[in-house]
Amino acid sequence: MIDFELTPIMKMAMEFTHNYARDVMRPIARKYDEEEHKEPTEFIQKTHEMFSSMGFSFSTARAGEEKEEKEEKAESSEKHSRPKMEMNLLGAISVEELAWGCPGLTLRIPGPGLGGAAIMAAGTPEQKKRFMKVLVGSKPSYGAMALTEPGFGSDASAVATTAVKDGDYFILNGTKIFVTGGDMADLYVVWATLGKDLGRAGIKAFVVEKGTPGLKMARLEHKLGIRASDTAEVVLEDCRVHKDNLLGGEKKEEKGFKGAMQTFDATRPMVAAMAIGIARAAYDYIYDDFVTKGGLEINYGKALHKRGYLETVFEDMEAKINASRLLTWKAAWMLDHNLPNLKEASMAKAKAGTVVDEITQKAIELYGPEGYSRRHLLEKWMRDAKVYDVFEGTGQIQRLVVARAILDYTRKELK
Amino acid sequence: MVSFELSEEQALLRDTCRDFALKVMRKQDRQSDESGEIPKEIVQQGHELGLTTGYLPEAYGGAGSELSAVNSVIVLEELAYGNLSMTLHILAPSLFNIPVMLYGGEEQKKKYFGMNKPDKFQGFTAALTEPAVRFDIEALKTTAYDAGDDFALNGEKAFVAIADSSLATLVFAKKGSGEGLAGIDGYILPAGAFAIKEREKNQGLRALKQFTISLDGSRVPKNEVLKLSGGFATLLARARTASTALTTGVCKAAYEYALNYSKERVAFGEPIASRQSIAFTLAEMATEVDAMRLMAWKSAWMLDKGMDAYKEAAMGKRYAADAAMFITRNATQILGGHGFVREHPVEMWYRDARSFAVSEFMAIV
Repeated sequence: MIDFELTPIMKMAMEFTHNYARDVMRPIARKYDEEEHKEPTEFIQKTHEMFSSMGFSFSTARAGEEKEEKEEKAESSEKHSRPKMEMNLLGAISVEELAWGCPGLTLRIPGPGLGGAAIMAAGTPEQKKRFMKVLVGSKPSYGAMALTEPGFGSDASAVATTAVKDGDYFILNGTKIFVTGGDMADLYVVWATLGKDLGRAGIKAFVVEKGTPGLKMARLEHKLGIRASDTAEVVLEDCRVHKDNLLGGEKKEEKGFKGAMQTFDATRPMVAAMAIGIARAAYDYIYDDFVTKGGLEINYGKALHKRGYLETVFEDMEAKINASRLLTWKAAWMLDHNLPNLKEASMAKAKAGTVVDEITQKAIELYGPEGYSRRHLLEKWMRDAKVYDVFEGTGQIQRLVVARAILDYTRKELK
Repeated sequence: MVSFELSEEQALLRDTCRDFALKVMRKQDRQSDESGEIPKEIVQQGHELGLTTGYLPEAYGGAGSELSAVNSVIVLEELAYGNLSMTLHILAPSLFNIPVMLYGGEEQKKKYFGMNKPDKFQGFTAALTEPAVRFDIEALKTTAYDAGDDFALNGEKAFVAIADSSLATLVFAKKGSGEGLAGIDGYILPAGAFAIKEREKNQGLRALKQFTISLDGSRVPKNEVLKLSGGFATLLARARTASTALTTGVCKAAYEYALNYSKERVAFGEPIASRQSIAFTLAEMATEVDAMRLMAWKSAWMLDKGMDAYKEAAMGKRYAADAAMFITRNATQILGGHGFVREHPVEMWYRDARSFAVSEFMAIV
């Protein structure tokens, strides 16, 4: 039965995260944009305490696995028991609000992160339990995803980092770049190949714990936006990882690369939701000036010849945000209900990535010279926005995924 | 609790309508577009599916199924996926019946609902748009003048669907002057109470009979006035929600056709679909179809919840009408020269889709 009514928990989460974004994140958004690489220590601690006291974490999961998790939950600390079901939709609703506050700081919020999402998508029940305990612990912690390398971005099958079996261990060698939160992670999900000749089947994910000898953070990127969130280059030099840390276990051959891809089913709707949050931030900012204070009237449904340019621009922005949000909610909801959402997740991400760039650019144009100034956050949001059409799969990759799905084409049929 | 899943009943409704769209409407869509005539049997078959009067209360001889905007948008999308002209003909009676159901008095319901027949399509329609360049719904020129026992209507209406075969027409007119939606009520005129002028000739919707009608002092007894008491805005929201759903249907038809064509059409040794420029365009078309469908669902859901959906409906309609141009234009583009010839239906959908941004009250939920 088609329904758009949010549950009381969702409404509460929306209100709570919005207030938090407004009162805690917005006031420091500029500071951590200007002071790139400076750790927002107080924010991290405060946010961690806040969310863990609420039993809240933004991990994503498939419905089936959520159930598995719940059964195992009995013995884990009750402090971390999460509100049941629909974690993806709840997550989408919440991160939209947080990103409205500051997308960079949102990515800095401790929690399972992308590494956690990969563990949830590709791990065995035992691994999920073991690693999530680390990621949803009493002190702020973070799970990072180390997939991209200097030699590839979108083509994840080109993994060059090697994993060589040595008894009960695998020895990892390679360089990983663009690791979100790579400076502060407690766990890294590192994608490596068991042998180039094995192709995609040889690509596996290994959980590498902070402090493992041979794992080192090489440098931090200097970025266009989301500067409050650090992006690191991570080098693995003869890094020994126990075979129990191979996600999905040694025998489940098929889970490796597919596991990485399944991570995206969960993360893409979240990334889309964050993009929508940024678009809304820019929209709200100029709305406040033009409409609330400036008296501009937006006459929805009025004859076009009677409407001014500005009001139609505002309406179009709002409509695009709404359209994008509905696509995102649908993708998240499908995952919550264990429905295959590969296509929908990519649709949502592609749309949101386009919409957020368009809206943040336009907002500056409407604001005039002042919009270009760092006195206002508009210029920051436009810089922040750009990465949303890039990370977790570029807009082009999203279109490729959608196109293959609707055409029922393989990678060979549609390159 | 949020859900994007159709109930069993809704899924059945969708399947039934889709079946009718593909097996009946699509078979004669081109022929109807060329001839300007919709076969009577198609209209009758649509009626027999319960599409035109299913929601009329049992007390008045209807099937008594609930009037649900969400159910209606599901139906509208599927029918428009078949053919837009036929859909607008089959559902024209709702333009009359739904406002009467929502705002009519007991006597009116009894009288007009009683004229509907379960086994035979009976024409009813509504007249809103006027023959004016830059037509403005907030500045209706058709006036209702209080002439004592009845009202005298003056003005002209355009694009009135099946006016020639309707037993009664709901004419929207304004009391007094001044702009805005206030003062607009519905006036029920029986067949013959006004002059039917020329049949409209449009870019698209060629199979649909639409007419210009002239109200030259036409008298409407006071008990035939449908007092909207400010409800005209709600009717508009219901009509605009319907428009978004119709747009989704036409767009889905064009998108799907282009998708299938692109897999069959070979160029440079492989299907054109295997080229990113075609494939990416299709991916965007698919995304926009989904987006507009969700917007139609959302405003329909709001209507069913009794929420004010005016803004949501207006915004959805405009968004969908815009996206419809993107989708149908690209559908013709993907077919290349074949998209330009009338052998394929995409040019018809391109023409039909242009109507959405400029029409009000084509259908209602």
